[in-house]
Amino acid sequence: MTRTILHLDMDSFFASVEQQANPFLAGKPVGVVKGPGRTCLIAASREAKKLGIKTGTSVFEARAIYPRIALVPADFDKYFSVTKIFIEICSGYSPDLEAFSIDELFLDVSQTKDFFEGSLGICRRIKEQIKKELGQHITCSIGISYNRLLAKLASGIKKPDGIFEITPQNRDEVLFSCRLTEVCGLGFRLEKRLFNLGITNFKNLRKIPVECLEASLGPHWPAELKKLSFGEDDSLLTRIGEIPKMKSVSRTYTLYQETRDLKKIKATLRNLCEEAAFKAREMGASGRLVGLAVRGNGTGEFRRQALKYFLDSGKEVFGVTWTLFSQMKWQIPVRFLGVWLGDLRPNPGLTLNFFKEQQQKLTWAMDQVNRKFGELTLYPAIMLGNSLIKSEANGFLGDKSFRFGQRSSS
Amino acid sequence: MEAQINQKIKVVSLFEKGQIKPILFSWQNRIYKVLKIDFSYAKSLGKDKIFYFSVGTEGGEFEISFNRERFSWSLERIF
Repeated sequence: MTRTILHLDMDSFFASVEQQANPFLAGKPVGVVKGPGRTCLIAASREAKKLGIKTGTSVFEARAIYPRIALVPADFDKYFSVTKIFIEICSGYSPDLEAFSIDELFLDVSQTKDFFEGSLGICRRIKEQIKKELGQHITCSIGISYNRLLAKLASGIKKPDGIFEITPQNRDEVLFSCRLTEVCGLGFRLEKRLFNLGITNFKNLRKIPVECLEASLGPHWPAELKKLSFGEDDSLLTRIGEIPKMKSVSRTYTLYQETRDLKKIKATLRNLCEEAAFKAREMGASGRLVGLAVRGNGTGEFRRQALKYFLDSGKEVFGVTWTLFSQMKWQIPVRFLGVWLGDLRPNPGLTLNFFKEQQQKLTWAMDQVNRKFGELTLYPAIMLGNSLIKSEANGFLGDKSFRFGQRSSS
Repeated sequence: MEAQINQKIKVVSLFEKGQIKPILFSWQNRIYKVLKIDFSYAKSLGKDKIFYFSVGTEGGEFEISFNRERFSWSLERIF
């Protein structure tokens, strides 16, 4: 049976939500920044996009293009709340739903489309429901096709608020007219390598023998690229209840200014460790690989350490990361920090740190307080005086297993 | 220009079909009738669940919130 997959992509999502929440922003160029004082736009409204202001544009450039642009700090809780309503609306049309990112999802309507006057009927109903439940400024573009790859490509063709279908009949016409990077899975670096081989579109890519590609791209990519050039994709949707358990938790943070202040670096690192460890505990898991990434002044370093026992407390994770930081002998100012706790396993049956019973009780008590009164109501004294970094859903929904409340189980 | 208020307010609201709908509210001795709800969303703050509403009245556009655990309403900001 031919499958029917929909890819639903919210248009200018963060900016549209802000325009919906604040009527004075509607119809105006709006830029969303990560927080007050940040210098890069993480989203732009469709009005701003028309002026050439897009995601990644610096605030300086945006103001040069349109001095009266409204800059709004991002509120990821607000966006994720809208995502949940979006998911709820779409799940009314099929249980086969994959939340792909904070503003995109796939819906397999192969079995259910006949109940709703076909896939176009479903698209129209979803659009109407979004307008009714979320508001007129929040719209989505929908791609329809027989696999995920082409459905995702189709949703980008008629933006904003459009519907486009890629069928076996128009597949080649669409593929041959789009840029290589418009297809999900083919990035700018690979595009550049293909360009060096004289391949600039899918028509060329399809013609060139696999052996020629293997000579310069190695054994993995040629077969994948060939499939992409024919629009082939046999992957299945990952339902929310079937999201694979997270194998690691991490948290990164870009400081507002470069710093050599060890006290600030220490406090920030501890803050990130607390969040990563809390996520692991909430999923009932512990990890034994600890990693640290540091960047500054155009350079960066990553180190990790494998332990013989499993950790789930921020204090212990911090202990390891601080040792890693000391080993780096980092001399230049720090701009970016990232911590990572890997090889996560479900807690029961793990070798935990035997001598840290008191610490575990303290962590448990702190978690109880923070769950009740909010994140970082209680926090380690080392973080005093530093602005607190709280957890947030990111655009890629990289922590979807945590966000959708799945616990590790043995 | 947006202004942060964060003041407790009294609200007449309708609880219907699992949803809350603010009808009118009083702030600084004036009564504002809610003419439209432009947007609503929910956030968790610890165990407290807070519902936010962007509402339009004859006196302006406001964001008001309802704390489900404390059963209290606040005027968050004026747009």
